Amino acid sequence: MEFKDYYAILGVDPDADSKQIKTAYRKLARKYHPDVSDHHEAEQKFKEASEAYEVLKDKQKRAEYDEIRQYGVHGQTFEPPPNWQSAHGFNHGTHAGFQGDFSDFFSSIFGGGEQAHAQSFRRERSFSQRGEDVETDFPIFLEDTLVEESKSLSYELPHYDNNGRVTRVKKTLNVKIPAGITDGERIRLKGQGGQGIGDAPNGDLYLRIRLVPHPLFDVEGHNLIITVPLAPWEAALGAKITVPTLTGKIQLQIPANSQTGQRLRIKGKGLVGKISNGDLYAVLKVVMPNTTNDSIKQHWQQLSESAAFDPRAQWGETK
Amino acid sequence: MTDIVFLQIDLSELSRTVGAPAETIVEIVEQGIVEPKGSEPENWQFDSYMISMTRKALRLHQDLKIEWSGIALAMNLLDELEQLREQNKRLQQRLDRFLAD
Repeated sequence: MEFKDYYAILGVDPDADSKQIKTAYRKLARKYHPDVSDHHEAEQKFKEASEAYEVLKDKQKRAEYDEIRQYGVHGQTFEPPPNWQSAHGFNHGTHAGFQGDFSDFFSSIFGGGEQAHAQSFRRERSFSQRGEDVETDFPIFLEDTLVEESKSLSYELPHYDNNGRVTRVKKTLNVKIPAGITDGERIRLKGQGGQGIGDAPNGDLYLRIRLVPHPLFDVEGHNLIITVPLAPWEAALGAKITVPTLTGKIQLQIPANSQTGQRLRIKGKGLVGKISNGDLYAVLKVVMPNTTNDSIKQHWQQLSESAAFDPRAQWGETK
Repeated sequence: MTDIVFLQIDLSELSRTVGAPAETIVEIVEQGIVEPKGSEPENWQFDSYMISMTRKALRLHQDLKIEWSGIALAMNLLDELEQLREQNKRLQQRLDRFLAD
């Protein structure tokens, strides 16, 4: 078990007063709240701060912790001194089942958790006794949004054993994904969330659709965009080229005198929409050949002499 | 096989689902945080997105001790932030396709 320096976690001195502790906690809570922050460790940091505040805001707990703190160093292995018994811990038998969010370190000193989450959780459960609702991201390939598809989905559910210990149980479902589903859309699977207690119904499972980035296509609403590299002569003379779409290859006519950045619309080859299908936009990008030789150089030379083209004409006279 | 149901739930079921009293949900609706279909609380209908928004509002209220009007503001800004991040990601990706070889 790792020792936790709650003062270090909140970034306050060990002799900080309760006002300083509250302010430090609030700042961290705002910064790392999982609904607010996109920090990759936001949830962990928020929990740590909540745990630290849970202890340090309470005079008695803080006193007990200060005593324990003499024996530990932050981040290092820690065992509570022999015969340690919290004046607090064992008075709260009812919350022992909901300590899932607390560190082992906290539980070893104070017994089961009393943190805000655990409390709300308890309230929610005693209010209805129905299973917990679970929300999970569901990644989907662009190709799979075109027609109704059956997809296998694996997710984890919290499971409470008879002693109130929380374990995670893996569950797999086959889900029919309707055609035309979009990024960020949420769907609800009734009764597929956490197990209900007693006769109460299970919670629900909420899927949040995430379109997996495609190696070729970018998504803009229901439209798709593909970047099409062109040789300079293809852009100059026009060309008939083959372009991939989500449903197979098509022929595309590039007009003569095309420019980098120009968009060509390929109707109906985008994503499936609720009313009509989106379009595919081919965005042209003129690229130079990597290799060159004397004969090619000569051609460019001739071209530069006969074209009389100033690509920076719009800069005007800057000399 | 599990079919997806695009469910609409009413006030009392939402209240049960998120574990918050109906008065709290009325407050959340009055702040415009969640905008159900239907004009009167008796015929309000919430979809899954609204359920998720309600949960978020409840978490922010409880964890950060923010007033409901502050939550309305914070959630507007968070929403905007998320959209901008998404847009930025998309544009960055498109830019990369243009620049990199």
